[in-house]
Amino acid sequence: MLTFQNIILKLQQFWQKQGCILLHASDIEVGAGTLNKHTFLRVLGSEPWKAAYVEPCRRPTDGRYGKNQNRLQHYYQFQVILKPFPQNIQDIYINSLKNIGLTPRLWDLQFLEDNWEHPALGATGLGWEVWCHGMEITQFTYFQQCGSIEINTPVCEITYGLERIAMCIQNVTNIFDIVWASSNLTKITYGEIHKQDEIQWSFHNFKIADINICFHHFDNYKKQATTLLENNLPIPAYDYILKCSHLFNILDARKAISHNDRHFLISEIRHLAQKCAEAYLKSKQQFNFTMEINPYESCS
Amino acid sequence: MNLVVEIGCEEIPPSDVKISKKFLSTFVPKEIQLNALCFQKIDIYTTTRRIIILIQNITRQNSYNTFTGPVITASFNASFSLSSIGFSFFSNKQLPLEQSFISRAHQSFLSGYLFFYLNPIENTLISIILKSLSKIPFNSSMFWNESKIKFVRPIIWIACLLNNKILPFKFANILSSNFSRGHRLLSSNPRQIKESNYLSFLNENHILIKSEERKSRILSRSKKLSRSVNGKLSRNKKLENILSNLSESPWPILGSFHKKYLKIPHEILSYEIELKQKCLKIVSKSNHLLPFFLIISSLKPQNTKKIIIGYENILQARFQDGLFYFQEDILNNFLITSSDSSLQAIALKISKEFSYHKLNLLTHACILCKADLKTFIIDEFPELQGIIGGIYSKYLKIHYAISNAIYEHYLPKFINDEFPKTKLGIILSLADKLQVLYKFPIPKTNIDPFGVRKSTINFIKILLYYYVPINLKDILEEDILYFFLLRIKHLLAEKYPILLTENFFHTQNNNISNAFLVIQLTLRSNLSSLTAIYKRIKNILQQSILTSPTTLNYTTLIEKKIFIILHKISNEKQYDKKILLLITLKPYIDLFFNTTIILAQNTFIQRTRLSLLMNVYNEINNIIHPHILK
Repeated sequence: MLTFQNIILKLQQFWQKQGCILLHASDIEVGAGTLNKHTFLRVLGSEPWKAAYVEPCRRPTDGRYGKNQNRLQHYYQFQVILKPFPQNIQDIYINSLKNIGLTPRLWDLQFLEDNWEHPALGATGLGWEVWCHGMEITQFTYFQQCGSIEINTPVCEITYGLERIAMCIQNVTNIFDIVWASSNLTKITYGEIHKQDEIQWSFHNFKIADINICFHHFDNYKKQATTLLENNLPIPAYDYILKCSHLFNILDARKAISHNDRHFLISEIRHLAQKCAEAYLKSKQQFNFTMEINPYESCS
Repeated sequence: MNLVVEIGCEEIPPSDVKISKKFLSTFVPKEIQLNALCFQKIDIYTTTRRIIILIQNITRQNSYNTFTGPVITASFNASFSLSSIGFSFFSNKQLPLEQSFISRAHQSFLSGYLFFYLNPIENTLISIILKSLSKIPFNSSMFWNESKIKFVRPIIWIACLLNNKILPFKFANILSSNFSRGHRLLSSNPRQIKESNYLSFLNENHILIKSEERKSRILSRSKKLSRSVNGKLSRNKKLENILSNLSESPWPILGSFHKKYLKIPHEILSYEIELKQKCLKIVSKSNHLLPFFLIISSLKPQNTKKIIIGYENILQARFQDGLFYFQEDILNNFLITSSDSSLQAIALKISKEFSYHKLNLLTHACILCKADLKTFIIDEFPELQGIIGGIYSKYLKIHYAISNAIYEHYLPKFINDEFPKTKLGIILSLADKLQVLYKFPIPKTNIDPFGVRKSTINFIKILLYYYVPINLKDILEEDILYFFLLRIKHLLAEKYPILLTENFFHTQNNNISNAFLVIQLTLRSNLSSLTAIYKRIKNILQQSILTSPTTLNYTTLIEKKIFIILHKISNEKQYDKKILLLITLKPYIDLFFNTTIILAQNTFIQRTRLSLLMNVYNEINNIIHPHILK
């Protein structure tokens, strides 16, 4: 049986063989692997980019005080980003599942239409949710827009839900029973590592987080992002936009945002993200894209 | 010659599976005929992974095809060269202007000829295939390679055989071949096919190409499984259609969940089962939800147990979530609302028009009507807006009139949706829609992020439905009034092709409440019978020789009555009242036709009756636009 950490290792090995560079998670709270700058900013422009990384994600509204068997406010995604992508990318993806033990004939795999979008960051894509026995295990997306900018070079994003895949492979019904690591004598479960976090953060997200402080920080981060953009520094500005996005999610979980304010705040973040994407693209053009690493050369 | 075309795709969304079949079923035969080919049979099949065109016995019908264009006088200019009209005929029909056509006067019309004898049938077929593929109106399309050609999802393979020989062409950089693939879960390896064994190849590989066949398998097996647990399948045609286009070989399996979850509002359970998990529900004979559901697997599984456990676990987690939302919302979210004074003010104003006096209920309803927007359940299922507000307020034992009004105030949500029924619901619904008009800017372009147009149209629809003698001038401000009138105009033009537009608005600008009266009454009157009368009179008049009578000789009471009403109509200056009078005239005309011989032997009587009909005809023509009557 593959442990949680072995699933990650196997996926990393698989995608490394496909020419992806293995990167690391963002050091700022993000709601999805897409928001990591290795995806959000790198998909802009025409130069090739192939990367894979594990992203810890935070979605405050999804917290369930550790009581739900497959819902968490903090979980892990394995993110693969390919620009451009090979013709047989779906087959490659299915092979990656076979590689971790999900054989299509034995597991009822289904591709269900799910045209993904992230309104706050002006990102949209066409694609599917991949279901295994009725459980969504992957989001498979062809990017169409990012930071409200049309994507001109085909980009494929594959986001594996690691916990759900582990649940399928390890045949456990409760997320906290997933075996994270094991040796001959001992094993450590997902619950032992994360359950307390889930309980405490759920309290924070739903009941304790100070709404005024959050709004105050939101305004400050927004100001900072604006200043950075005015100084033509889109990369640090993007970090502050992510902070705004996360605060918005906490305020949302605290039910502190009215229906109309919601639209307004989302449009504010989207506006900043658009400016940031434009500035980033412009800065790359200024350097004639020479600041980019060529992933084909960097991977043997 | 027999043709097989198979476009192999990454999973096509169910709605696009349907769209592509509908489009190709009409487009391909039309194109084939336009290209002077004939065929014995065309079959179009679409599944989630392939688009198939099968044509039997294709032959060249003629060596050319003729297209009739505009009249000769318009087709040429003074110097006898082709005019812009003539040119556009050739370009619209895509007729090659230089080489393969001649044009000549043919019965005063310009004719274009497309000659095929230089063009082999293979080339014609390729151009038809390429044109058909590029014109499918998918909901959304994407490009995925340097070709920049857009298609619903990336194409993986193209198999194209004409009598077992590959018909070579490229679409989106994919070269056609004689290779196909089987079911996604069985094998992804390309397999060689022949035109003669193509259908048996699909059959052997568990591909059901007919959507009816897929649906029939889902239904028959689901019904059987439902009976096995003393229940019946809860029909959901929309979902059934989606499921039949979601996999190439669907296979229903029975799953169950714990009875304890039945205490969650069934609307929530239904959303989880049907919308989120794409499963079918099973209900008792008395239509109560049973703790069973039907999984539609993408292939008859080797290990059913594993799939059932997977679905049951995920559904159980979703139900736990539903329970969590329900408890959290009831305890914390639903009743914590901020009172919106502007909505109350509008609602109070409208309530006066309805003579509604239970103001405490109205105020409470205004406070609670948007409370569901703050609930978890609406975050998860936005479609439950209103429904869940009604359920929660019932659960919290809030006055039933308020519960109903909360549910009703979102109505109508879509075209042909129901209207609010209770007085409180109608007032709240109107106030809610009007508030959108007040609160958000009037859209100047097609972009309408706050749904101002939709709210206005629904506001008008409710007024029309109930004939509310509301004085809109008291409620609407000048700039909104104009926007409102425009919406009425569009609504009439698009939805209710009844009234003429320009005249109507010129005469009605000063009195909008009357405008509504007119629309309402006219909508309710039977336009088709008024049109039938109009046509009948027109036919009689066309067949008769009309001469003005020197004296009017009304011999029956009914003729006199019609004459009096006609007189009133012509003297009436207000347009709405004219319409009312015209409607009152209708039964008398019917009676006149049923009891009177129009073409009486007595010439004077005949002339009088024809003249009377002529007057009726003219009045209808004056009041209702002839275009509408057509």
